[in-house]
Amino acid sequence: MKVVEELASREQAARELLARYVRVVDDPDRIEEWPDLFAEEADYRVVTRENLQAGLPVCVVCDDSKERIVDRVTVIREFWGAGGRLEDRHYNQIQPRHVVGPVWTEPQDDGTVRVVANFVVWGTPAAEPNPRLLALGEYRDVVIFTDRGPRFRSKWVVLDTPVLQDVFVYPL
Amino acid sequence: MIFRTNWKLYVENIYDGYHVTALHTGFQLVRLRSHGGQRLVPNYERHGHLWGQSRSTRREELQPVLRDMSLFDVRTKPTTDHTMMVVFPSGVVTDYFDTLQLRYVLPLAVDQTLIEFTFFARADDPEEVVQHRVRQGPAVLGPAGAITLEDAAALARVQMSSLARGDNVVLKGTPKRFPPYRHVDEAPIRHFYQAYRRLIGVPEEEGKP
Repeated sequence: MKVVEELASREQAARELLARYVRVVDDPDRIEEWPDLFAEEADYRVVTRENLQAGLPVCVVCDDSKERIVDRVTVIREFWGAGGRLEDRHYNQIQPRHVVGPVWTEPQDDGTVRVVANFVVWGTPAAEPNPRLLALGEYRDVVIFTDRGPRFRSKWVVLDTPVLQDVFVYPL
Repeated sequence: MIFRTNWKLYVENIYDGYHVTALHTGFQLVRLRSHGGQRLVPNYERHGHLWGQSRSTRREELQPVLRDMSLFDVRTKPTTDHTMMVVFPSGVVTDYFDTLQLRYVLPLAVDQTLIEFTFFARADDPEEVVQHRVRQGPAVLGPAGAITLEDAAALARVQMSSLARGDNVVLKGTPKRFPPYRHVDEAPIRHFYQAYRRLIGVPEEEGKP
């Protein structure tokens, strides 16, 4: 049936968007592409499960507008000097690695697709033998279908830990 | 957030005003200056508490490097005065921009410290002020805040250097030995360690500051 095919292809497109997201956030040279994965009205947050369950509004990261999402790239490149000269950085380069899955997709009546996925983010610092656990938890995303294709209307990174394990430079 | 540093180095970083304009690139880029003010260590012969106040550049005069400059906005106070305090030995109290914050310093190991960040609003704040505080506080002074990563990286390196063998001498000249200090004098740090040595019962040495 056409409706079923359409739903299935929307779910598949949402999964592909998430896969593209992971490719971008794992590549320190491609962080400028990160804002393009979001719709014009977008909401990216990193929150703790603890705060979410307690109904507390404070987030670890609250990029609740496209402007803030674009600003994050400025913070990463200009404030923190990521990928730039050693003299402008205070830390060794770190290679992020997201491990995502399983992924659950739920098409909604309004045409969007809700996506939930487990995730772990590791970081391997330059010149160190051991990777570090940066974050662990669950993505809760909403994908909408724009004329540019599927985009994140919202992406909530829900951390299982009540505190951050380490600093992180690139988006989770 | 878990910092890779001894708790005293984290606290020392609050006593130190010298690093602020040198280390926090974000402040330089938006041209946020802290004008004047001072750092005090009240009753320094007996206590190690820190009190520091300064006044920062108004948001309208900053370079609009970010699209959302509300990070540096002050809407809830009549001036841009800001205050940092430490209730010795480790109670960090911050009133900066529109952010009211406590930080709890919880040592986990000799080289690991858990810092819990809590943010506050006033009971009579209208909803849009609460939202502004929610959007500002963690973005600048939170565990993933614009200025936090630089402190964490620097503190991790200083912690590593504490393992250097032999004598380690840290020296920065200051024309003053007693408060009040300017923000660039690192001297408040000395008072922290003097108070800490008193606390743990290290006998005072004749002639040593």
